[in-house]
Amino acid sequence: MPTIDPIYILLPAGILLIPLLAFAVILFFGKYMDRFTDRIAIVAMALAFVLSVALFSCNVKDNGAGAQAHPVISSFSWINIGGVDLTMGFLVDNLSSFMCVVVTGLATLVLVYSMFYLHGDTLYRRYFGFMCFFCFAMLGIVLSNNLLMTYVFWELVGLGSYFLIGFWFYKPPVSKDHHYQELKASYATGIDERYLSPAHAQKKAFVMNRVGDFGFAIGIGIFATVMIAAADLPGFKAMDLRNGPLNFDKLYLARGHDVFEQVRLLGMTGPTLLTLAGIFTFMGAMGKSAQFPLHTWLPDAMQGPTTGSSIIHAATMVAAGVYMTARIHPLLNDGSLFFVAAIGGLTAFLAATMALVQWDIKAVLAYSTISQLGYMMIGLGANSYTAGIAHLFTHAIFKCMLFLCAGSVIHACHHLQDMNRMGGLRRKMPITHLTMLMGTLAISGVPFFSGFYSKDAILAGSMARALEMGGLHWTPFVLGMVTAGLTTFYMFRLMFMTFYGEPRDRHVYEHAHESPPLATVPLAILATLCLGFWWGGHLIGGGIIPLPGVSMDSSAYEVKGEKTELAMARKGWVDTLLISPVSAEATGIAPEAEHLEKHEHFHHLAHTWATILSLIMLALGLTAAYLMYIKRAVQPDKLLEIAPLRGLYNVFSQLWYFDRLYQDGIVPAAKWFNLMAWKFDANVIDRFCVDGWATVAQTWANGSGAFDNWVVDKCVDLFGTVTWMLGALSRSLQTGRIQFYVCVTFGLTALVLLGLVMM
Amino acid sequence: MDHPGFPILSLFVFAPVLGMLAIFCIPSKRADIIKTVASAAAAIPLAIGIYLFFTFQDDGHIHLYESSLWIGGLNAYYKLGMDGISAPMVVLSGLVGFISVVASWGIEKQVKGYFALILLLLAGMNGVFCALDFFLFYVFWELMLLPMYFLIGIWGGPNRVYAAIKFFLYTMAGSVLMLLVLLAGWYWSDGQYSSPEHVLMAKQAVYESSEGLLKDVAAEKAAGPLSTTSIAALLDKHHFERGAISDGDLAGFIAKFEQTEKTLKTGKADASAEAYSLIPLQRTFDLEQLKIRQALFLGKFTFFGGSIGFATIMFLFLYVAFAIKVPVFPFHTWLPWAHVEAPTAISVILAGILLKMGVYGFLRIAYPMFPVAAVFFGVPIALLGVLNIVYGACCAMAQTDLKKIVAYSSVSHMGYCMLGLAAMTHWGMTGAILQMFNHGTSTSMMFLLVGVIYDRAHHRDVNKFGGLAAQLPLYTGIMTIALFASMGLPGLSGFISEILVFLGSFNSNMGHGLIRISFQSMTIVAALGVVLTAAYLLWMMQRVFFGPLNEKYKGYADLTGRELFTLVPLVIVIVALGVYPKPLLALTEKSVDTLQAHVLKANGLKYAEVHVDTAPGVADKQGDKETGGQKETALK
Repeated sequence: MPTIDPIYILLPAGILLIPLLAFAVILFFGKYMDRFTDRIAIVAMALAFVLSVALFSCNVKDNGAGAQAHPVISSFSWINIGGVDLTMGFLVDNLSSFMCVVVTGLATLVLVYSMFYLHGDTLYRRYFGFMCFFCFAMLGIVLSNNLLMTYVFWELVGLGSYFLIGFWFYKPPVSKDHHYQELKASYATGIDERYLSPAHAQKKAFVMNRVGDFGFAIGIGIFATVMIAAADLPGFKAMDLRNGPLNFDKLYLARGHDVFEQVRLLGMTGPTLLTLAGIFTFMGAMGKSAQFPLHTWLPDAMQGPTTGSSIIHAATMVAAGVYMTARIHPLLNDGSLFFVAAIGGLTAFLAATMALVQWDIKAVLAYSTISQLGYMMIGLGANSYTAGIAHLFTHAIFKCMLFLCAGSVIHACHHLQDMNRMGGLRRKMPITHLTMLMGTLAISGVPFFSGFYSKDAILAGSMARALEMGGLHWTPFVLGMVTAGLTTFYMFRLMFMTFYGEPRDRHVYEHAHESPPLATVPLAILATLCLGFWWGGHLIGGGIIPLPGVSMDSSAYEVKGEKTELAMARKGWVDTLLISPVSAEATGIAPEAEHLEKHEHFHHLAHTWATILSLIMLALGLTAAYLMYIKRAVQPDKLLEIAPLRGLYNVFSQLWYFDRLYQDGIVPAAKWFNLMAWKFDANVIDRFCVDGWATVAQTWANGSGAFDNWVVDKCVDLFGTVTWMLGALSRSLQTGRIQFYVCVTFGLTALVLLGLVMM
Repeated sequence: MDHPGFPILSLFVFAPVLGMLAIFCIPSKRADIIKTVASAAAAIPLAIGIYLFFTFQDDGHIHLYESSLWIGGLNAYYKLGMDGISAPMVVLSGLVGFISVVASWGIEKQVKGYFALILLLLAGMNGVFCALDFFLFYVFWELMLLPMYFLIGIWGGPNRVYAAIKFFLYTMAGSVLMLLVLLAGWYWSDGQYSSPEHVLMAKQAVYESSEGLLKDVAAEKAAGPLSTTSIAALLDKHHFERGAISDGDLAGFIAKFEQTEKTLKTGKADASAEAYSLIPLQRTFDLEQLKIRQALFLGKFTFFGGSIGFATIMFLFLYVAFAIKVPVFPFHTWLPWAHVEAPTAISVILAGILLKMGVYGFLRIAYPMFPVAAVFFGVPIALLGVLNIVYGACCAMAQTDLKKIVAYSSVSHMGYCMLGLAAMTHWGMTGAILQMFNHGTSTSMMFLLVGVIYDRAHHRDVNKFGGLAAQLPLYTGIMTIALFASMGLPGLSGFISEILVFLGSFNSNMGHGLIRISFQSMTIVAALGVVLTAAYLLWMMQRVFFGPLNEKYKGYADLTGRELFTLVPLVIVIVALGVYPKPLLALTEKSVDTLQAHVLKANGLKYAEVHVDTAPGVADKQGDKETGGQKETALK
């Protein structure tokens, strides 16, 4: 291993451990410093943010961008056994270091906001501790250099999410919660209220994530087995695969050398095995990123505090699945990539339809999150690595902000979440309105806002992929395109219903108020970041705002002394820095030039058309929302009188019946099965087979006892009886009368004499 | 490492007995003194366990020998020793034993009897993990049964008598089978029932294991003529059981070995057969010797005109004997009864240590003695292990009694041990050993915690609780750690063992083709346990701790100092070994190597950590950058 600049170990270690330390301090000493717990968490997170920025700039400066990027990988022995070392370590590249910046930056802002939002909560202190723990776990995923370590922190993130969803664990199911019933949205949501509670939601989230992790674990098993089996093969010996078999760099390298062709597993080899491994591993991402069909936990997770949701269930944790998919992206082949894209497309579309009919302001955002995560998967599955990743970042920022805005609205309306009772709030809460509007513009993909760049790139990439592969590959693209329109519609619907028009509930309106600076300043910061110019990249790096390490000389974009062919001014910093790690360098294989050319061609074609189409969808969605919720030209209620639309509405509002299927189908079936298993255990195995032996033994014992009593003992008694009878007989001879004795004596003597005479 | 002169393991085993004797001398009215003495007596094994954990260097051989002739006629020895396989168990036994004694302080009924019995129980358990003589092992195994019977039967719950009898009889049934193997193994161990070539193989193995002895004899001879006492000392030093050899024959015994060495050195073609046949074999219970002589058991066993592989039938007997203890489906039904009815501390011992004796038996006796049969039955053993994992979890989900949930979770978790064991890979076996240790700590915690709530609420019905987290935050926090450790959450120790078992059985190198595929498929099914475990534990968590607080439980006190004293050490162990498992791995690694090498060698398998079929045509494909790369790899 080449020597590593210690800065690439110390900085990641600092970023990772500072939040953990803050968690430990709050956990053990929080009691004694009640007033400072929030400050401890915020300072720790801000410190981590500063270190992340330092790491990012060091990385860009030292390790280059584009095709020349060198990830810095440090690895330390962890489970070293049987000649194989499962390591732990940091992988610092543009992606991970930028992700650190985003996670810590958002967390800092959210924590500041939380000081306002959770003010006065009885569990206030605990909240900040949990947030620190969550960030520690999340940063672990980000900085991990191998699949096993990713899995480790993956589960810890799940734990952090478990704690935060169930933050208000003492709440009853919402059907019994009068407060909730008063404030909830008036229309059905498809979620069974008999069960919905923070305690239920946290369990559901963890278990559904575990379903995904089941696949993830198998994926890890396949990769580990293949790598170790290949370790001794010719051509792989030099790679030292036993030392960190699951390290990403080694996986990429081995995959580049067709390792899957060399090994047979589960009776499979080659592309089949690789597809299988990819799909299993991706299952983990399906759980964590709430992809169809494991998406139902995320809306329930909104039972947690809105601030927690904003960072965990909108910005970072759910994006961890996307991040992990990006990390394994170079290992995916066409088969598994299509699976990723198809799942992404389905998720994006289904969740968007569910979002259309929600009346709860948080629920709209929750379904929107699922839908947007689907987008990212479409991007990655379409082999548009950069687009998917860029959307991860843009979405993280605007969705985090949207949730915080929603929190601000909910707080202003005294925990009211029903959009039917809002309206006209823009006059009362101008800052919240403005920031939320910017978020809405960004998520809808309006030009000059961040979402436009990333979403457009995804759709373009997806279209290019469809052009290249044809057939079913059009599905993700079409679904994504339709979703673009739906997204615009439901987001503007949310805006219009909340902030525009006349107040529907005077009481609520009268009492609404703008949030204090503790909330609005973070909102304003985030809103600024939704502007497109940060992301379009034509300004950053290339011109006005310098990026560290990137030369400003427009004739030669120098990174670490090497000229990069990818001109940052032309492509933007996103396309320069956040590109797939599998360069010629990583695998030792250059993609074919001809292939690249064709690819470029499709991309140009797709880019134009995708942009045009998505702008059309945007216009359609916006118009529909405007007509329905501002102009009232089309009454939504009137639309529902049309039977087919009513039917669709029902399907959407019942969430395509997935929750029903799980809650009323699978869960009872599993419970029944478990009960049967236990009945079998208690009755068949225990009572019949085990205690049966006791019965057998008892029966045998009774039988032998009876035999003993009636046969053996009677035999014994027989002797007694016989003896007794003989005794009785002989006793009867003992008459004590001399005459009798004399008679007997004479009689016997006579008999003896008679005998003698006869002889 | 070896401590000549100081019988550390004997102290480890018999310190509780000393405590028991001391307790007999204390009047029963002085309960506090009895409890203090008992805790002190249990603290000695704990101290020894901790000391050994930090100082024991595993090199694959047995250390800390203590050996002396016990029953001359039978050649039964009092022989103790420790290697990397018993080391974690010794540590666990010390730890859990002490904690369970401390956790028993709340006992008020017949204190004297209780503590005397629990100390006797500890002695039995400690003995099992240190015994290296089959006969001694059996004695300790049975010794532990009796106090357990009384502890459940007298201090247990409402169904205690039924549970105690069930436990006792069930385990006795297993013991009978073990007794059969004990006797049969003894009869066969001198080779008179084995075929000549197997005897020769065994003799060769014995000779090869005696290398050090001959070296020392040569060195001694160079110094001067050998006396009987010096020969005896040498034999003792190398743990050769003199057994029935009278002092006069000792010189002859050594001479045979020397002659073998001499004959071998001639290098003649047929020298080895002649040479090895000189090696004397006598009947023995020595587990090391039985392991070395495993070839003797490869023969056929005839009865009523039919014949069956001796090792096969003996392995099956041992399997049942140990499977009852583990417990493996379908021999597990004594466990929920015993766990539920036993008092808290006894449940802790049952789940924390007793179950491990079964797996330990496999590792110490069944696999070394009958390696060929063990590999032959690999798939069924693994299958039952997987069944344990899934079926145990399903049954756990159907329970409403907290203790039964934990009891069935034990059934489920011990399945991992069996799966890892059957896989016979380094990862799998290490995982199995670690799982024994980690399950010991996490399950002990869970039983202690269930005991805590039972002490307060006097019931264990999951559905009658609710919202306890608001009332008992510390208790909830520690319960969370225990549950997540049991769930295999990374960062806590259970994860390490589960992932090792998982990777190990996925990589299993037993057999080829179909067997390998079946191992891989079984592993995938076993991975379902990840989901099921989370489901039943979190569901239990939700019903007991979350939701609105049940008014009945208002005012309940959180954990007391004594309860924390029993729980915190376990938390520390769980977290420490979850984050940094190396000390435990280092404790076992070499011994696992030795055992694995032994089993694979006996089966004629190649020694390798991982061995997977390579696809056809790999040999001629060089896989270098020129040819391998350009074909399909359009990685962007």
